[in-house]
Amino acid sequence: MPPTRPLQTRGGQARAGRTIDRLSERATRLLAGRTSRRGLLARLGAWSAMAPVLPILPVRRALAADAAARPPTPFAAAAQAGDDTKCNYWRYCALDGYLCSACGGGVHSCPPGTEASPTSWIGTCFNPIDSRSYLVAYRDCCGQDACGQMNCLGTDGDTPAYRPQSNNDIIWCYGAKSLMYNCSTAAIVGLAG
Amino acid sequence: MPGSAGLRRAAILLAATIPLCAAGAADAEPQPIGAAQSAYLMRCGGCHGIEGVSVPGLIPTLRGRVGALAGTAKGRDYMLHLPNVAMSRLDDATLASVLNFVVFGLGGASTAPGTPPFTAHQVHAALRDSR
Amino acid sequence: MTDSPSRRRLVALAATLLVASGQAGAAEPDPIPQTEQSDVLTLPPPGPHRLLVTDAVYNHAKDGRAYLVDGDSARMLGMMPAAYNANIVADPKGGHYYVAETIWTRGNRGTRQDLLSIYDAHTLALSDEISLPGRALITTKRQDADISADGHWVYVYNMTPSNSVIMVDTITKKVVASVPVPGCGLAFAWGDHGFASLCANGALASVDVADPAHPKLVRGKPFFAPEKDPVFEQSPTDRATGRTFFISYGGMVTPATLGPTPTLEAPWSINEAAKQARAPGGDTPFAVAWRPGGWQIAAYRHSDAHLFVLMHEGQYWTHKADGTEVWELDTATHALVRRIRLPAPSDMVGITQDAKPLLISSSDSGALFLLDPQSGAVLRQIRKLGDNLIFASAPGE
Repeated sequence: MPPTRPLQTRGGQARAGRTIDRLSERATRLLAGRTSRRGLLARLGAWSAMAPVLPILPVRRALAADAAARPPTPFAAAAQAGDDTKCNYWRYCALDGYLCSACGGGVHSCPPGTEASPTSWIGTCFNPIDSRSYLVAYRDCCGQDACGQMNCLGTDGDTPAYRPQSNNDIIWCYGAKSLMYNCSTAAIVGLAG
Repeated sequence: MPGSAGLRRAAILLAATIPLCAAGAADAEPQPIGAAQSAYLMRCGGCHGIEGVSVPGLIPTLRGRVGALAGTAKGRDYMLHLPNVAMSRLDDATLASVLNFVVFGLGGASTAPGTPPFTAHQVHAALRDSR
Repeated sequence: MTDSPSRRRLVALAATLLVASGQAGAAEPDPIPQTEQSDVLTLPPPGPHRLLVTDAVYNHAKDGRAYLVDGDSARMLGMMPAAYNANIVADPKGGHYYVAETIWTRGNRGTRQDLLSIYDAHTLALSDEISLPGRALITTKRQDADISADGHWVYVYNMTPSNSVIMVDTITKKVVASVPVPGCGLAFAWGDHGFASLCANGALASVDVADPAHPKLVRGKPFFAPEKDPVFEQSPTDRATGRTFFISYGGMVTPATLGPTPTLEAPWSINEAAKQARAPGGDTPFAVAWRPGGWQIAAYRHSDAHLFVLMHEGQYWTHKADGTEVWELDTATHALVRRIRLPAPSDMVGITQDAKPLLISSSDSGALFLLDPQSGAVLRQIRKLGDNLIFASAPGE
């Protein structure tokens, strides 16, 4: 979702320990969180237990393989991997809206009192640490009006609304109880091919 | 809502047979997602779900179900003319590979043995007039 | 208290005023009435500078609204609530404003209600509410709603995420159809009984709804590459003639005439009109060029077929960056007429349709600017009309 102003208006402090190593832990929690949220799957105990697991560690210092890979866009060239409460955090390359991580949530977590969307669009962002691109699901948090902190305007790969699969203006709350937009998250789906 | 018995059966089967994201051991290097699966994720997976399961009643479940469509000529034609398929602008071979990922990767037990894969030729023939 | 000289003067002054109040002296100041009755004003007759400005209020979008502004005095004349990514459509005949909006029964929660709220254009009183079966909830695009040239039909784009266009009869005040437009989005009204949608493959789908029960959808061939150089949703269009200019991220203009079977003309480049090289595409995303961008990225003036396009200098993927200039382009000759430097970067540009036109822009702090389109001079401004001024339109557009 929305709007327009690219400037970072408020500097969240870089939290200690917000390193890429911790991302692995979060990626694991992401899968767990998503699975448990989904009522259908939650009831399928056998399925949950045996679910094919996404790569546990999608982001690591694997510089060797693609050391020569260059940032593909101006956003990527200026992106950082240390502070996910800032607009130039690498995963936010196509995030147009407010950062959940600046509103009481996290990079893939919704703020208290909101609801995570089961639907999203999925884009690609370049990680400056390992110089590789990852698929990123831009899931909105829903059920309260805009959280108002850190209004970002990442537009890499954003195409108009008649191509919804790559549009960041749509309120990605389909399937949530309420389609009211609160903020946006950027969850890792996997390493781009 | 899908009947849970059938879905559970399909899910167990799938889980046992198809690692969706080429997952390895927890400490292995992450493997890149294949081209067909990437295309599915970026063009369909936001709504239909990373694993082919999304919002019951709102968005059709593909996992363990979509294979039924691929078993009939009518169903295959339907799949080819779904808006996101017919309007994808992918080349014929790539589009065929995405359809095959959906049918054989997500379809699981719903895809009957012997179901033929989509070919670039079939894609071309079906969508020639609309793109 | 003694009868001091100053007190005596006051009494004398009051007596004078009392006497004066009984006379019709035009030069005298108004008396202070003893009792003032409250009333409610109505709008003066509309002129060509009656502007309709949409404020999305992104920080609390459920409180969106639209303002009516007199461009000659730079004063607000009134407003209408327009909740949650609403679209405001002006009746071409001038009688009403139609607000496609979404509210929840308990503010931020409760039952979702999608409505077409109808306001009397003279009194701004709510005259009707029509329940809609849905609406696309998306940061508002102008073509999420439109109206037929005769004012009979309002079209509201819906996305569930399946795509359809809801048709409302403004005479019977009823929803008459939900027309599926699979794979396509938005509604560009053409004539009295049709609309076109842009599709994911870069084609148009045009729907003739002369018989709303049996809409006729015609799909065209792709005319742009949606993954390489997509056209903006906010491409300017004229419902009466169907004349539309689809403008791409890379500054290519494809003239079109919408109708039952739309016709498309060869695209031309805004940059080439300005004697520049064409703006490089997504293959070289670091290349800097002048590019269209913003939200309401262009306006069209019928009288001379000129386009006014918001432009900025930037790299690829800056299609939402505010414009720093407006480029006036002659669509007949594909020539640049002039470049107008804006007083502040703006996400919208508007133009009035009269002989003494106003150019309209905004700022990210909610200012509204009224410019002389020839000199670029700021004629008037409202320093803070609202929060997020994303659209402005004028009568006859």
